[in-house]
Order: sequence, then structure tokens, then C-alpha cells
Amino acid sequence: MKLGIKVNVGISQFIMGAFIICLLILSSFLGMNTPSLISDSIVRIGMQMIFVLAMLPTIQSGIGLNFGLPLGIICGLVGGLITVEFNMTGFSGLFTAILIGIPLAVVVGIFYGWLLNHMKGSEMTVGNYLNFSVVYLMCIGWMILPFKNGAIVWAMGEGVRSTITLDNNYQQILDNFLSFSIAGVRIPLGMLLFDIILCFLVWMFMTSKTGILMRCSGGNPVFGASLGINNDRMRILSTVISSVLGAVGIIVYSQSYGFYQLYTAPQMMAYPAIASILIGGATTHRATIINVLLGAVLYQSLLTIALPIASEILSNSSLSEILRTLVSNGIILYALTKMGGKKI
Amino acid sequence: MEPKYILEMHGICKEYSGNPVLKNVDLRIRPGEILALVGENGAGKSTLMNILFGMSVIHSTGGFKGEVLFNGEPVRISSPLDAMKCGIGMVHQEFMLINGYEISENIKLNRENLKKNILQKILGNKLGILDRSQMRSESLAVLNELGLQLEPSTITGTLPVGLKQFIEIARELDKKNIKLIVLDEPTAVLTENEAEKFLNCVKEVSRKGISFIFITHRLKEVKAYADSIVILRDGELVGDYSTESISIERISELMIGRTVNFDRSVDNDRKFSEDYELELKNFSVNMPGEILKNANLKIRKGEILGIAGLAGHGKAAIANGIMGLYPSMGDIFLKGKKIDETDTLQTLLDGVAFVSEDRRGVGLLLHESIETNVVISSLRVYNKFLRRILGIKFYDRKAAKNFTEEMIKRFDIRCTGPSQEVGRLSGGNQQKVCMARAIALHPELLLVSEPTRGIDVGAKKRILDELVEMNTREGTTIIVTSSELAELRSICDRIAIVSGGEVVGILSPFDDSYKFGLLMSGITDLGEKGESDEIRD
Amino acid sequence: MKADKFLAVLKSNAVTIFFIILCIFSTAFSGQSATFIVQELVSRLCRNSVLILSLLMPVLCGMGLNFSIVLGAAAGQIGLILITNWGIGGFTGMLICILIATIISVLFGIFSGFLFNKTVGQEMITGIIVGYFAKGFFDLIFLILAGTKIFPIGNPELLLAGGVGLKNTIVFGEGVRYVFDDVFKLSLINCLLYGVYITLAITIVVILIHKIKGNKWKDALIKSKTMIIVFSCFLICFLLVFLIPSLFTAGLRTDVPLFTVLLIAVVCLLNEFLCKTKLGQDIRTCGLDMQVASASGIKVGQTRIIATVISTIIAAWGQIIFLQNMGLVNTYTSHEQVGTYAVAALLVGGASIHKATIKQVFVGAVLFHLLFFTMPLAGFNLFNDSQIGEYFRVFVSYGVIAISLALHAWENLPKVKAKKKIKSDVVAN
Repeated sequence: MKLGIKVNVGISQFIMGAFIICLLILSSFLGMNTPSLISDSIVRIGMQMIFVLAMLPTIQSGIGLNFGLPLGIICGLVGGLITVEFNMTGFSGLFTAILIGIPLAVVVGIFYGWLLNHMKGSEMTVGNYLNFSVVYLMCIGWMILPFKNGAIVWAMGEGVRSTITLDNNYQQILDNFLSFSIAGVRIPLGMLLFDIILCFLVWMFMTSKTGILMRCSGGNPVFGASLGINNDRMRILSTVISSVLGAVGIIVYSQSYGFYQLYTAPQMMAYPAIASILIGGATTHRATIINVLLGAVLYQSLLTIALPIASEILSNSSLSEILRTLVSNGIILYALTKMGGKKI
Repeated sequence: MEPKYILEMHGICKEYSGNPVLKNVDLRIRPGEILALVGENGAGKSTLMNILFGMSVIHSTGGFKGEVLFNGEPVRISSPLDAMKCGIGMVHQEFMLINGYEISENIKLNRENLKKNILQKILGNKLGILDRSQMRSESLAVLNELGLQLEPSTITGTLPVGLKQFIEIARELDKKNIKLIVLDEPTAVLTENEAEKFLNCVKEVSRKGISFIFITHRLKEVKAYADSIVILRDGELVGDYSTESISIERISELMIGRTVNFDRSVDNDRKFSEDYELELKNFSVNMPGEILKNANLKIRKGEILGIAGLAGHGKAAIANGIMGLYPSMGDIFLKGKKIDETDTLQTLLDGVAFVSEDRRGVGLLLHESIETNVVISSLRVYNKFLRRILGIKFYDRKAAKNFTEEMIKRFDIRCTGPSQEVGRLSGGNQQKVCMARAIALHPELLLVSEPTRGIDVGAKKRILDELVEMNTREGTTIIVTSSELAELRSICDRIAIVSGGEVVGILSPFDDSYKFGLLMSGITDLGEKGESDEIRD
Repeated sequence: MKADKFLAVLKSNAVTIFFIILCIFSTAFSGQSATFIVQELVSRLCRNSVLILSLLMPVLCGMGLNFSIVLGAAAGQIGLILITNWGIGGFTGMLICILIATIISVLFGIFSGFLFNKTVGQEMITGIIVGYFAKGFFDLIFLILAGTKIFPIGNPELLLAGGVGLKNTIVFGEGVRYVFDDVFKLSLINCLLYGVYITLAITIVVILIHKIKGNKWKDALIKSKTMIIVFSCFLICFLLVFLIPSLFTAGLRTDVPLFTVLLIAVVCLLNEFLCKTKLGQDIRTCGLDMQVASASGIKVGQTRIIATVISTIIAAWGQIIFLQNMGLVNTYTSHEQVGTYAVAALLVGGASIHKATIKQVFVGAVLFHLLFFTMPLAGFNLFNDSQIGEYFRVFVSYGVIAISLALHAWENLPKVKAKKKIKSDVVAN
């Protein structure tokens, strides 16, 4: 079977790739530890890939960028916490977390999609603020949920800890699975494989009948209606998939990071993912799996390679955070101006 | 001395990327004259008016040839503002009114009376305070001039439609230097009674020396109110008469074209059994801008039925309504069986296919490949181009590609290959893609809307031939909706005329041209009954 | 009939009524004295009103809620930091500060207005992202460039130990802190009393003017409705404060910074003035129908940029008033949440994306900020944990925005469900 994807990768992505390679060479001249830079960026790519992937279905179904990704993330966190509560370890713990997270995310995704169907045209603004308010509602939730395990709750006072370590559970279990090192670069093969499998599954879905119809309904809803496609149901399906990917994504992210971060941590997690897929060449209404892969690689390597180098040169450690803000929001702004709505 | 003509346009030529749309058109209008400008859709009326108003679309496409004289002096109108300064105003077809504003605010829109204050002197006129009482009293004066008993502080949105058109004309009259007002189908949204009142008012105003260019499709109004009449056809001036010297039939004939030189590609007198493929009973469709009311139509198995009519009169609503794309009322019977038009998928499964008139908006997935566009309907409806792996239906790229290549060859679609994006094709090739998709469904009933709009001659012929071929070879019943009457007359067995949202008559393609013109402008008493009239319910 | 009307009023003010109830609960459970609550409320009201007022123009222009006022707030901050650096204070200093802030915010306003014109229909999400983008931009200036040759800062007290980058918190000097607030203070009860006198006088004058113009007494009264309502509000407030003992104490002990109140009134009047001008009319026309506006020759793009610029300028002034009252600035965070809180307050006041009035600004400011400072206290009293109240109030601010936007989008959704039964207008037409 030939690769069934239209490659819409522009020259800018190539330039950016070349730029990153130049930076890598530069870094070795600066006497930085180039292999460790590369290892870092590979780990970051693996951690973020699923979030970027989660942007794909909603873009394809015409909703646009999914600013409500943290809704799915919270479902994953709940699943994760339950496994820690019962001291589950190893792969069984990891997969139980995923298995608990998925049905929650399905329910949340249905509700979220239903809501967005009633506010076509302002999905992004509403999604953004819905996400913010739910994150804070869950902050109260974390404080009153009846968790008992000492690893989860504060030793003193009420509620769940703000970071929960996975030392004794499944810290880096996917990273270490099948991992190996070449030339000082550590490859967390297990996590990458997991990402690739998910990407493959989503790609399979996109080439199935439903996936193709979803793309049509998103690309042109009136056309969809003329084929008798229920556009609203397609959009709900896409938010469900997106939320599920968000839930799975946070579990993979956390096992690699070694902690579950709760409370306000999920609030801004949609933004890097949005910026990534846009850097990968997607627009607010068109995206392919190539954009996902490329975007995750370019964005994360830009952050983990370019920014440390910039800090090294300018000897200012806060620069990287600032540049990250500028780059991600700049690219989102750029994509918004290219959306093409009403003209003045 | 007053010049004889307020406006003269001499030898106006205009082409859009090589296609001439106006060929050497002359137009003259005296002070106080009402000049009717008539012609079919696409005859060049709006282009002529765009030139008069200096719209940017004219200048961005290379300007025009010819000369414009206003008040006897040559003028260069390069923007709507210039036109306004000369004293040329426009009353638009759709209301350019803000419903939330009171009448005086709408009349004075962007020409508000201002009170002076210090800030205004420093920072410019924008900071002048609105002088509402002045605005109201001046508006009241204009409204009185028009013979309207309206309070200027009434909110515009609460007015009935019939009165809104008066507000628009009041706005133009309020411009003190106004000499010429263009009325773009001002009566299209009005009832007969309202239109009469409105046009009497226009007549009254014209006596004061203000000239009107009156664009309309209602020929009765032309006859009753205009002083002279200019007829355009295919960008050419085909008539310039004083109204008394010409009959409605003659106007209509000039609009449509006298010579009936169409090559029939279908046998002239085909006989059909009385099996009805499709029956519409009291079918109404609420399609914005194309409302259809209580249509009754019967389409016989195997025939090609044309639907003709002017833009905005509801002909497009028939096909869209059947496909359930807009809310509708009434019954549809397909082969005698009542169908639920809101269930579009079922309609498709019943063997109906649809090619939309809005090619880029509804008919195509512009960002997808030719291949996807061609196979998507059959994939959706009949699960073709799919293969099952582990019980899940996956896209069968190979089958789709082969089929698309076949279609590209059959229709002679000019492209780089099946994977080219449809948005990058020319209009004609896009239309061929739409046709190919419909053919892939092997429909029993094909609804085609505006199949040849905006495409080149070669593609036009290819598409019409293909329709005829489907009809003769596969026995597909076809309903063609089109603004191009000549084309309908070359392929259809019967032609239904829609006017004012109603099916006003069914003609044979060999009927006299003027009958088509009269029916389209809503005049139903043709003197003699058409031979196929009994088919109407 | 009456009951229907009552229900309709209830429905159209649902958000506000819900917040009034919430405020009553939260205040009751906060366990604070009336004096504390009144004092805190008055000072927050004076601090925040102008920031909320800055949102009005873009709403009128049909651009929705302008989240990009963050840029204006930052402009105000830059002005204050500069005059602190130069060591000038007092009224001259503040005038210079306002001048600088205004100039910078004109530039920022043009920038965001330009972006809004490129993203018609998506102005709000654009505004949000512009806010985040601006945060990066200001961090760059304050943290990386401040103290270098590009952006020289002479006063070493403002800089971090390394000599580059501003400190997290900058405390203003005597000439800036409370500079507006301390001009003239009066106890609340006196304010209300004078308010009653003054509004009574104005009301009588207005009625007499109408009478002299030849109206009947009844018509004259009806035409002066607004003034009569304002007067009655003052009277009721005064009577409440005067008659309820705990409020009386609060009224005596609460000082109202009259000069700040005057500044707020000036901004309100400026807004009203602009609405009555040709510019205001153009802005309103653009907001109601862009197509009609441009057909009538109004330059829609330009008008929208002007509306954004006005909003940004007022936000800059608002932030200056806010910070002089705080007495210090958190260099990197003070401007961050300005947009969200101002928008939430306005929405709580009953405004929507397409309609917002000065009345809603103040109702919203009172309710939102009352909730804002009582909620953590109530949370502590109820759950023995102030953090819950803290989270709840942030949830409420985001939630009210989400719900208002959702309701608005819901109303605007074209109902194009193709059902068998359609409105009779198909046939009626």
C-alpha cells in the first residue's frame, strides 16, 4: 500500500530542519554536550507527540485547533491517580491507567463535542475558556476527591499533592522498554514505538470510510450534508478521539517525566501542541499525519536544542522560556490571520 | 444652458480576462427621465453599472474602453466616492439599511449633521457631536417630499418591507446634489401593490428633474413607468426605444434573442409513457434568496426536463429542496413512492444524484484530490472503493485511482493526474469532476444545476453531450436547471419556467422566444395556451 | 402579563442575579465586618473600574470583548516604571507617565487592531493569543533588555543583582504611590450625603429646563428619568448607610478617594462623548453591519482600528490608576490577568458580546470584586481551607466567560435543521 497521505510540507519546514541541524553543529563548537541535547529533544518529542496527534481529528472535522485538550488530559490524570492509589506498578499499572482514562475521555469528549456543535464559529474561544474553567473546577476536585494513599495525598492537610512521583509505579517504563544508546544518544524506543503505533492507528482511521467522510464533512460541511453525512456526529466523534488521545498522552508524558502534575499544570498544555502542529505545516482547517510528526519533531527540537544554545550564547537562562512563548504564540497568531474568514 | 443629457456613455467596451462582456454599448439619459435597463442575467447590466460607479472590480481587471459624460462634461469616475460626488446614487437590490437604527439615522448614514465643539476643531470632523434634531427634521422633510407619513425617530427594523425601499430612496434624495439614481431591481422583494406605490413615487420624483436608471425583470413595470428602454443581450446593445413604440412581446423577444439557432442533440419529438419518475406536490423550499412556493411538477421517466428562470426567483430551490439541503414543505414522490427529503442518504440510495449550482461552495472539496472528489459519493452511498480488512472498511486506493483515471479520460479532464487538488483546476474541469462523481453513482434521476456556468465552450459541449449520452444510453431521467435558455432548448424535452418562486408554465423548446421572456418576467397570460400546458396540475 | 414580564427580566439578567446570590452567600460566610467589606469594596472599585470601561468601545464596534487590553495595561506599566527610573513623581511625573503610556498604547492598539482586521469573526481568540504573545515580548524587554544599552535603566534599585533585567517587584516612590488617591478623601457617608444634595439639585434643574422648554410637568418628569433614577440610587444608599448601624460605622470609617472617582467619571464622560460623536456613530454602524457601513462609505478597517486604539489607551490609564493604588508593580505578572478579570467583571454585570453599558461596568465591578475577595475567606470558614475559595474564584472568572460566550454563540447559531415542519414564512412570502 502506498503512503496515502498528501504531503503538504512547505519549504519553510525544510529550512527549519536545516536550521536545527546547523544548530547541532554549532552546539558542538560551543563545547556543549551535543548527544545529550539530542537525547533531550528525542525524549521531549516522544512525550509531546500524542498531544500533537490529538489536534489532528478536530482539525479534520472542521472544529479547528482543539484548545480544550486539557479536558482529555484531566481524564488521563484521574485514571493515573487511581492506579497510584492502588499501588499498581509496571506495565499493568500503565495500561490500567490508560484503560480507566479512555472511557472517561469518551464521555467528556461526547459532552464537549455536543457543546461545540452549538457554538460553531467560536469553538476556539469557547474551548479555551471552557478548558480554563474546568481546570480550576478540577483544582477543587483534587482537593476533595477521596484519595487515601499516602503517596498521593498531602501528609498534612487536605487534598492531593500537586506533583505525584511515579518512582514506585511506572516511572519511565515505556522510555526504558527496548531503549538503547548510539554514540551517546539514548533512544527511548518503547515510547517512540508507542507513539508511532498511535499515529498509525489514527492514520488507519483516517483512511477508513468514516475517516474519509469526516475529512469531507470538515472540509466542506455543506458538501457533507449533500452526501447525507451527519456533520455534527462527525464533529463529536473527532472530539472524542481527541480527548482520548489527550488522556493517553498525559499518561505517556507523565511516565517519562516521572510525575503526575495536577492542579493548574494542565491549563496551558494545549498551546505547545497547537504550535507544534502549526509549525509542522498544518493550518486551522487542514492537517495530515505528516504535519503531526514533523511538527512534533521541529517544535520540540527547536525548543530543546535552539533555546539552550541561545541561552548559552547570551548567558541568560530565562531567554529560552521567553522565546518559547514568542514562538508558540507567534505561530498561532500567524495561523489565525491565515484562516480567511470575512474580509474587510 | 442645461445639457440635453444628464449622462452619456459612449462606446463602452469591457472584457474580463479576454471574454468580452460589454461590446460598444451606448447609453443616454435626459434629466428627469426614467430609463429602463433590461436584459437576461449575465447580459452585462451589472458590469455597466459597475463602470458607472467606478467599482474597484472594473479597475482591478484592466479598466474599460469608452467615454462617460456627466452633465455634458467628460468625467473619470474611479471610485464610488467619485460617483457620489457627481450626484449619482444607487438603491441596492438587498436593503442597505441598519435595522437597529431609527429612520433618520439610516437616511443620514455617514452624512450625519454635526454640532460644532472644541475637540472637533482640533481633531477633525469625526469628533463632532451628532445633531439629532437637525437630522430628524431634515429626514422628515425628505420623507414628506416622498409623500410618506413616517416619524423619523421610528426604528427601521419595525417597518414593513414595502416601506424600507422608500427609506433607501429617501437617503439618495437627501443628498443635495443628486441627479441620477440607479435602482437595482428595486421591486424584486415588493408585492405588486407595494411596487406600484413605490414606482408612482419614483415617477413623482422624476418630475422634479431627477433621472433614474431602472434595472428590472418585470416587463409590465417597464411598460408602465419607464420613459425609454435599453435592452442588452450578451453584452451588446440590441435595442434603444421609447417605451410607447415597443410592445412587451417585442422587448421579451429582444432580450432572449430572435433567431432560434440551437442544434438539437436529442430527437425532437420523443414519446414517453406516463410513468412518473418524480412528482412534486405543493413543494415549497425556504432557500435564502431562492424561495420556492407550492411547486407542482411531474417528470416522466426518461425525459430531460429543463428548469429556466431568472436568478433569485426560485429555480435553484427545486433541486436543493429535493436533496434536503434547505427546509422544505410538501410532498415528493419518487417512482410513486413518497420520500422523506430530510433523509439525504436515503434519497441518494433511491438513485437520485445531484450536481450543485454552487460548484466551489457545495459541489466540491476544493482542497482534496480529483480522486477523492470523484469517488466520494459512491464510497458514501454504495460502499464502493472500499475493501474490508478485519471487518473495517478501508479506502481502496487502487480501485479509486483506476476509476478516476478512466473518468479523466472519458471527460478529458485537463490535469496532472488523479491526485491533483481540485481547487487548482479550471472551472470547466471542476464541473467535469462534479459530473464524473454523479455518473459514478449510476443514478436513475440526475439533478444538474447550472452545468455550464462560467466554463469554456469546449467543456460546455463535453458536459452537455455527456448528459444526453447518459439519458439516451442509460435511460437516466435528468432535470437540468440553467440560466442559459439556449442550452436548455438544445437538450430538453420540456422546459419549466419558474418566476417569483412559482412554476408559472411549461413550454416546449420550440415555442416562440418571446413566450419564454414573458413567463420569466411573470406574465402568464400568453394569449395562446402552450401545447404542453395540460401537464401542469 | 405582569408575571411574564417579570420572568423575562429575570431571564435576561440571569447571570447578574446568580452572582448577586453568590455574593450574598460568600459575604455572609466570609465572617468579616461590614467596615472591612465596604472599605475593601470601595478601594477595589476605584482601582478596577477604568480597566473594565476600556472594554466598551470594541463591543460597540462588533469586535466582542477585547482581551488584548493586556497590551494597554503593559503600556501603563512601562510609563510608571520609566518615571520611577527617572525619579520624577507628583502630578508632573504622572502627566509624563500618562503621555508615554498613551503614545505606546496607540502603537499597541494599531498592532492589535491590524491583527483583528485580519481575523474578522475570531477577534476574541486572537486577542487572547495576542495577550500571551505580548507577555513573551514584555518579558524580553523587561528581563533581557532592561539595563542594557538598548533600554537603559539608570536606577540600580530597579534592576536585578546582575545589572540586567528588572526586579520582580518594583515599589513606587512617594510621588507615585497613592498620588491620585491622596489628593482629596472624604468619608463614604459624607460622599453619599453630598451626592444626594448634588444629584437633587441637578435633577431639579433638569426638570425645570424641560418645563421651560414647553413640556408638561408629566413629560418633563419622564424626560428627566435618568437623573431621577441616579438621585434615587444615592438617596437609597445614603438611607441604608445612615439607618443600619453596622453600615453607618463602615460609612464613617471608609475614605473615598474623590480624585480617583473624578478620574473614573471623566473616563465615563469621555466614553459617552465619543458615543455621541460622528466617530461613535461610525463605530456603532460597523458593529451593527459591516457591509452596510462600507457601502455607505465608512472606512470599516480604519474605524475598527480606532476603536481598538481607544480601548488600549483607556486600559493604559486604567492600569496606571490600578498600580498607583497598589503602590507597587509585579513587573512580570501584573498585566497578565487584566484582560480576563476585566472581561469577567463586565460579563457578570450582565453585558454580552454585542452589548455593554456603563451601568453594567459598575454592577459587574461591584459583584465580581466582592466575590473575588470574600470567596477565599468564605472558603476558609466553610472548608477550613482558603485554597478552595481561591480556586473557586478563578473557576468563576473563567467559567462566566465560557458560559457567556457559549450562550452568545448558541443564540447566533442559524437554525438550519431541515425538518418537515418549517416556518410558515415560506408560504407567506
